[in-house]
Amino acid sequence: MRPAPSHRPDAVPIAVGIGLRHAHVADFLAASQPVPWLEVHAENYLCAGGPRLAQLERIRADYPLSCHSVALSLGAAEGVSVDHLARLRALYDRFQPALISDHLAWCGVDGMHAPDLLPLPLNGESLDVVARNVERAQEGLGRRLLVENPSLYLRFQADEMDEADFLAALAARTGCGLLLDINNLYVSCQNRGLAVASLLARFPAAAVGQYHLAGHSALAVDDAVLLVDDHGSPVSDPVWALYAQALQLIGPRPTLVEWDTDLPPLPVLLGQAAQAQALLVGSGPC
Amino acid sequence: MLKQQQQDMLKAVYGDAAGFARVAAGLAPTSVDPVRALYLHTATVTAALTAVLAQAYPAVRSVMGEAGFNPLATRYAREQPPALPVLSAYGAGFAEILPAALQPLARLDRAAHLAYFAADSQVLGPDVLARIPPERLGTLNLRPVPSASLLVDTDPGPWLSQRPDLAFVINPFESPPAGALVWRAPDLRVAACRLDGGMLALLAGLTAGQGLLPAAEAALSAGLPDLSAALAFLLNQGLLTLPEDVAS
Repeated sequence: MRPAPSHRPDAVPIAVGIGLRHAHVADFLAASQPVPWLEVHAENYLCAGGPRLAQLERIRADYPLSCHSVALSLGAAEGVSVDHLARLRALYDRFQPALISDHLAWCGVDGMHAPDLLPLPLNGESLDVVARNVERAQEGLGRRLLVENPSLYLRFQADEMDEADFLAALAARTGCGLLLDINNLYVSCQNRGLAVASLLARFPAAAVGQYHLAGHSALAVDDAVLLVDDHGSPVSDPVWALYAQALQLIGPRPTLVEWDTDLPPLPVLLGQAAQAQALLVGSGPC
Repeated sequence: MLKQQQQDMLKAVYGDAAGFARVAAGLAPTSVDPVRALYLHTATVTAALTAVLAQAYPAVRSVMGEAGFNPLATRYAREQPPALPVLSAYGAGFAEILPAALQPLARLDRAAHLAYFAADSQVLGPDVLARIPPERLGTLNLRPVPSASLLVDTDPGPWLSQRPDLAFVINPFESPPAGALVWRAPDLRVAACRLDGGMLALLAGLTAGQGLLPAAEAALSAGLPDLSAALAFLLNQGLLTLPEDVAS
């Protein structure tokens, strides 16, 4: 292992980072990697001690950090868990991420948890619930939260608005920022038969604080196709095109390339990040 | 309204047909049959928890194979969904639904999993112990590190043959075998060794909060041949925490 440096970079630059996964940790411990910042899944580090936290300490010394949680359950009707907020707060206080984020989704009720980003109807009742939860989360975490649009596979009869209008209203009510996942937006619109350009145009630019990019797969279902946000392949051409549109409409933001299943060697992921960086730089001054 | 819908959906993703039907009745049409799309969430939850259990019980999975392991993991996930979003804590009772022959393997896997995520601690080294006046040694409150687990009547040998990721430590006091010890070494690698009856008694006493003297007496009664050498092994392997009164 390299000796720990004496400084700790904090601000996440307007540049393209990658999601740090366990399989690539050894690459980062062995040598400096050409990536300007990293994002980790916060819940993977909610442990009392051991190698994961020690490794993240070492890596954090060299790279600005974003922490992306998946289980705040911002859409839960029964509210966010005080215990989970406290666990995340302790992690964030220790590692001082420059950005924190979670999803417009829920994952638990009545003391039972499901490891998935479950959808909720996009209507006034849900907006009240999510706004209350986001306010409690921001207060409990002591930081501004970015709320991400998840990949959606369902439409509810109780839907009253689309996710762009829902998230714009949420940001206006709570002061939260938005994490615009370009792949999720594309997947959701394809699955739900919505016009992606229209939704993209209605995302409030001032609130968008970060982009995510990832790959998806196509699942044949009867005579139709369901796009699945599995983060197991390169970013698709339509998603690259949509990212370029977002850069023009919303502007450059810190951008993350994620890859979670069928993880490739680190250079492949860094290659995807370089491709995104070229688009980001080409979109104008960062 | 929203809470009821979420209760139904959570039941649905854990395989409850009535919950699934109630959620499906509230879905609007899309290009893909909404029922098939809803099933994607059920499949995602099952696959995620199966992966969590496979990661926590690698030796069990290796011995059973995917075809044997996955149906049991699915059954466990549906019967005992996680209560917490911290999935490293999930699966504590998985051993109970396994065939009896595999339960020791599962308990050892679980011990290694807990050791990996256990709290860090300041380890008592031989140099520090050497500086403690002899008259204080008997009353020292020595405790095993938080990552240590004792497993009585368990031979870790067959398990370790399935776990090349772990360190198999040779303990001078392991014969005749009476149990297993799993812990996280100071280099952060999870390790395991066999224990004889005397060593097991010594560690059980220290774990129970006994002072060194009563724990040592119990160990000697159980056949430990050399207390000094046993303590040296525990110190050299980073198995004892630095007592607070010594640290200060």
